[in-house]
Amino acid sequence: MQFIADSIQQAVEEVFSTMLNMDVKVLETHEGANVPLAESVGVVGSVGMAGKINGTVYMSYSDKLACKLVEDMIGEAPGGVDQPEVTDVIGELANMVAGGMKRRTSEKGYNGLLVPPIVMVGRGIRVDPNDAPIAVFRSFSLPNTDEHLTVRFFAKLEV
Amino acid sequence: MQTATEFSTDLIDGFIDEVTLEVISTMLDWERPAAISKKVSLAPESFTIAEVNGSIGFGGRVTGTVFLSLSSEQASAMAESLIGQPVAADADEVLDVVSELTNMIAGGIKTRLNDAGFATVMTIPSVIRGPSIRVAGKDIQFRLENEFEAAGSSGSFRVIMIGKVSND
Repeated sequence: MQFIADSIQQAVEEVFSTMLNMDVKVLETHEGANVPLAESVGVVGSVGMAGKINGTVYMSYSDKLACKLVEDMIGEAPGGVDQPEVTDVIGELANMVAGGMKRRTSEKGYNGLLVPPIVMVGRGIRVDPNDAPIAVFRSFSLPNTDEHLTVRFFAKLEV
Repeated sequence: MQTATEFSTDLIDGFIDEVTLEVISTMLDWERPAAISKKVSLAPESFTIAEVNGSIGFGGRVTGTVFLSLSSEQASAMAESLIGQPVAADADEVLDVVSELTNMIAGGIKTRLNDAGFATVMTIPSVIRGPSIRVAGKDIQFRLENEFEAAGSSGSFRVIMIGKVSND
């Protein structure tokens, strides 16, 4: 299922380049049972895909990184991660990455309908895939910050 | 057979109650839980979920997410009822049970939506855990939050659905 891992990585690189003019670099890659299930601290944007490809992408940011991206995108720093503009930007980034993945997996015959994004904020958010046969992890460095973006995708393919 | 039904939050509310009461009483052999409170919002704001949450997304005419939101104690109690022996709150068995119950509740809602003419497909379930998680949906039109209490179990649990209706 290398094409799924590739589609995630390419979609993240494309969206951050297009929307934020950021050249993100892959730091860590894990797949299958090696995907770390560490708790996320901060903000998680997620979008589900239902169809021949069936699963959910989770994009995790620290509070600081989420606020920086919002400021970069709309030109004004949010008052905190509980502000609506954080939901808008983090949700939209997840939506665009899922859309980019969907476009790429559709070309391989695996289409899916997207679920509206949800954004979770909290300490110690942990997502368990419950034996999803496909698990992909990518972490990315971003320019001008020490903060990292982590992306997890848990899914199965419908035959 | 599909029939043309006008979408309303009352429709979803009824589906949530019907399916949740059926799944909990049938699968866990609990007395039928009582619906003790309901919240409906057509201008959805953020909301908090409990410590253990099954989550499933819907795509199609009705798109959104369903959560089965439980305290750690409720999740353990449900797992114990299904498995037949005490289970620690963080055990894999608890995640499996929460995942399966969420799948059955969402599946029941999906079937009823399809029967009402709103064709949908579901994602696979995830279990989201954390001490205090605030959730906000983007581009959603409604949120329903139905709280239930089962006789003999400690505390209550909620089934929450956020989403929107597509005219496509």
